Amino acid sequence: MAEAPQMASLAGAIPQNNSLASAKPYISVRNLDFYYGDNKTLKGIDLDFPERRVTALIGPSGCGKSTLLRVINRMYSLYPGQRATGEVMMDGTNLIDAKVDPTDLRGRIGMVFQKPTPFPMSIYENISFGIKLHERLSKSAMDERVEWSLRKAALWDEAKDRLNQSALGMSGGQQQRLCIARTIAVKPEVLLFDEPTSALDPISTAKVEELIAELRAEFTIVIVTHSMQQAARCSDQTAFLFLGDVIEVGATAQVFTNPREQRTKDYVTGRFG
Amino acid sequence: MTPNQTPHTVSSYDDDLHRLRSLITQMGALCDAQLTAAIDAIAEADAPGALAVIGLDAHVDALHAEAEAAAIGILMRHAPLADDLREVVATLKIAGWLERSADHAKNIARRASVLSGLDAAEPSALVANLGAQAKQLLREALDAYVDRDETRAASVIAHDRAIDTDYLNVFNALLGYTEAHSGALTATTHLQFIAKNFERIADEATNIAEQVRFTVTGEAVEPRATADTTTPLPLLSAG
Repeated sequence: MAEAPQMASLAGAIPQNNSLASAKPYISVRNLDFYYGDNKTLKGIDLDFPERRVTALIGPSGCGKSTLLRVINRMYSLYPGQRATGEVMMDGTNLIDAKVDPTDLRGRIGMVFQKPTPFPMSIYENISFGIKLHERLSKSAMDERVEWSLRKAALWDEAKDRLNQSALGMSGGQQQRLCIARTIAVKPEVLLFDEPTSALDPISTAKVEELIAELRAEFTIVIVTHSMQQAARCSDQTAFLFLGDVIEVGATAQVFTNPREQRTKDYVTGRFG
Repeated sequence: MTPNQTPHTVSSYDDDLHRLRSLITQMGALCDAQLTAAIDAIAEADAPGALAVIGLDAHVDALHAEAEAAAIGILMRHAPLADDLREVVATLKIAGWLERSADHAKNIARRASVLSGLDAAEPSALVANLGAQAKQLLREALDAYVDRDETRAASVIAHDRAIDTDYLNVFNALLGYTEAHSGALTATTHLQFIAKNFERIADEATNIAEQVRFTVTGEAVEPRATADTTTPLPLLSAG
């Protein structure tokens, strides 16, 4: 018998999110199909997004991960010839039902895109603009909300002395955090991130990832990323999509250290043909 | 790339992993050669053969350093995941255990060179037999590593306890021999240390096999008892 204690195994050494199993699904996708014209790009997706957890969607380009995000907040409905069938259930409502008002929905489900997209307005107006679509706030209440949003996005200290300056004068990383502040300003329940750091340098990327970790306490988050390390760092749950199918979904530590499916393993290890 | 595995898209990734495996295989081959020579030195009271084993240790140390650098390089360049990650981490540990096995072989050889001047053929044969078992276990663990053979790894793990038992039998036999042959104390004392070294080599083989199983299956290595059950307790209590 060996005298030296065995070192903890790799799987054991990686923090497991034991609360993942206990988290209730906040959004439940069932039998979801999506079509660009006649082209079916999502095929019978079944996937739960647990409440106040981060779910990473990974997969090669064209696998349907960004499409799935666009279905969740009904962005596809802005474009002709695109349609979804099935269920995206949140709080007893099927979000893709035509009766659901898309503007209200986007107040509940915010989205941050790959490239920072600040409005050509002041920093303050970038935040207040979206709030005015959903709420009527007094000046003082609006000031408070703007500060709250910027603080949540870890941008207050950098922006407080230039609130009336153009947002376009900010760095790329600051602009992306401003977009996150703008998104959370309307107090959504769900945040969708579509490759939020792919245009940012490593330091800005780290700030956004840190922010995601903090926002996780209050929001249900879905992030699409091509960075396996980012998915491993940021998420509690990871789903691997391929050709419009969910191939595997599981706790992030499991998916990246011991994936069950061969296609997942080939993808995360860089063996994909 | 192990057999039946799809190559990585980045070919240098496969090259780097191949090099790491090759370094481990070289370390294993050197350990095996050291052990073989050390066991022969005990069985045949061959002092020059024993000294040759000591000389090999520096090569194993150099390969160990090279394997560590190669593994760190893979972590840095390729950020491995899934079975690749398990393999690199396991290999770092395996390299350490092989280096330790080589150190045990060196210690055995040092004592064997002393034994060559003593009349200790009978107890030496006992210990050499234990050494042969430890060497075989290490060889099977290395074969399991090369072939990614979970079944063979499990067999090594299962066999460790038998060697522990054999070690205790050898320990008691050496005590008995010492009592019966008062002039054999120097030889049997050295042989006791040698036997313990062989038992430790079997432990390293078991550790390697456990990491092979972890690499292949992803199942966590179960913690083992930290107490040394191969040290005879009555002896300890006697102080």
